[in-house]
Amino acid sequence: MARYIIRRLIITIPIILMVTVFVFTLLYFTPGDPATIILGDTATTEELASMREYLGVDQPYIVQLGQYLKKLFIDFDLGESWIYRTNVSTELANRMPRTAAICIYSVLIGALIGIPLGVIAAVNQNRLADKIVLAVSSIMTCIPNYCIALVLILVFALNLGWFPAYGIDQGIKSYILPCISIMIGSFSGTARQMRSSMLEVIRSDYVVAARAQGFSRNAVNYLHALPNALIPIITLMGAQFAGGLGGTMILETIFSIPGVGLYISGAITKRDRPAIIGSTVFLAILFCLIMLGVDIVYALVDPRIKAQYASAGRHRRHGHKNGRKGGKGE
Amino acid sequence: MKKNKDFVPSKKNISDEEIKKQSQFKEFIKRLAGNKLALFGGIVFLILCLIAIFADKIAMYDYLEVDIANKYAPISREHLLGTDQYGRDIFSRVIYGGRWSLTLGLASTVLSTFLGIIVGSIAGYFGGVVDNVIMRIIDIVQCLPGILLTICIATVMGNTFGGTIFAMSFGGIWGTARMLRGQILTVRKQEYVEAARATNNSSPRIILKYVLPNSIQPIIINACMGVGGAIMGASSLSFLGLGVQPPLPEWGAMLNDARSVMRYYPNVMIAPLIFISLTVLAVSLFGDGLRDALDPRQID
Repeated sequence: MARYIIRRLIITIPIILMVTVFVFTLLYFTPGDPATIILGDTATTEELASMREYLGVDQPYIVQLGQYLKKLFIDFDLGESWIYRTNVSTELANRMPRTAAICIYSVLIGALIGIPLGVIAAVNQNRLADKIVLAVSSIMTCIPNYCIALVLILVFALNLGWFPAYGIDQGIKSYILPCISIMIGSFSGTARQMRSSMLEVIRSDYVVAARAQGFSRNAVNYLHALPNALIPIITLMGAQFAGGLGGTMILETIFSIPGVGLYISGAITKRDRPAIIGSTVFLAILFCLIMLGVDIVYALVDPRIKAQYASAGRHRRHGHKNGRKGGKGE
Repeated sequence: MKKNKDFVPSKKNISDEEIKKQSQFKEFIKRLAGNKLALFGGIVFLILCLIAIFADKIAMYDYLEVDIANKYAPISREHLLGTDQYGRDIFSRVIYGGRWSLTLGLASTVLSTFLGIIVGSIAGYFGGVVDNVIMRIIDIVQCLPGILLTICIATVMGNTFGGTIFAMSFGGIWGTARMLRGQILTVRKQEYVEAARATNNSSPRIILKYVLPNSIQPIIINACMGVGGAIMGASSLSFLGLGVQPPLPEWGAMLNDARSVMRYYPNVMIAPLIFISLTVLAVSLFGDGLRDALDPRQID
């Protein structure tokens, strides 16, 4: 297991390197001169030239890329924002807790609501409860979360005045509406996934065998089937959390929450290259780590998967080619 | 090429196959027609498409017609859904908006599926270094949050309509490619593919004629289910001020316009909101139905 984790961490490094090169190249070819964007149209040619020199954008592409990679991978420095003149890493560190709070709470609450609903639907398959859960979750997944956010603002902030419409001045109250907006989408996804994975487990042989041994339906469903049916939910929650980190961009804009998402969308509109690359690389690293975390949790809760990792390690040591290879996409 | 002719099935076989295809198709239609939710979704989507196509016949005003004196007009016979902050008729704008929203969603899905099929078949069929390179690209792209990637590319492409379509499809290419590659890996070892190779068929021909038809079904299902997400993505992009630019009446852009005045004039916001949600719901229901009809094994 430890070998597997180390292997995965090592694989992450070239992926992050390539992500950096990819995003850097993409932004390098974005139309618009950085110096003009920073100084405005009224700046003189000399001012523009000295600004370009200061930013280092007068260098050829390959030199700029090399400098950036050196700064990132050797000095571990994400650079300085062109517009705000602040360090990107500090900015991300300050903003991350807000974004993480929205993601974590919404995914957790989504799971707390979605899992029971999915179980109820699966246990009562094709009955009224199942149909209601399916209908509600299908409808809820189809409404974009920014639409939900707008409706929530309209009703609960502007009309009823229970929650603030924007900003984070009111502490936890400010996070409730953004969390609900994401949560509505995530709980429907969880409920649907839970329903299908529970149905799959209920039909497996060991559940039938347990029933044949005389255990009651409830005991079999909740003690034998449920723990196994919960395993795929871990992946889903990991994916929802990782997806949420990018997805909060729109919600943070709507609710004016100074998190990572708002920072990135601001940086993109202002073509603030170091801020965009820095935050993108940061999110990519986080994404890889979350996925690795999901795999580790998977192995911890499911002995079958742990055994798979262990046997893969053994196979590799003995020179077998058929051992499970680590890393995505194999 | 002469050798190949020996392997062309006789006329009789072809007609048998055609009969089989027909009955499979009938079976598919029967299953689809039996699914009421899917039918409902399909019909609603069809109506929305027709509304968008015949927008100029249905709408009472031009979507750009500004009438400042008449701004924020309430719902009335002249303005079925009222007017917005520039006095533009909301009903007409929503009707026309379908043209942009639906085109963006459909075109980006088609483009991403098409490119995904090309990339995936190359990776799956040729294997080796090519496959490795493509898989590593997929690893990179899938590490990036989808919306962030789309926004970056949309910015690079300069917020044009075609650029937005490409930006939205770019993220989808890799998922499709990866899925198809997996399918092809199982198909390419089959005897009929080896037979095709042994009879001197060219690689593109083998891919198009033997490999793809046997591995493409999940891709089609995936694409159908992805249209709803794409329409949603398109509107979120315009909502953020990228993609379709005002004053064009894309639904997301209309919502963005309405956001600043929603406290006092919520009706400006309601219509695009309902249209987006209804479209995505209809497409998703229809996509679910298509999946169940094409692949009945997946039904719980």
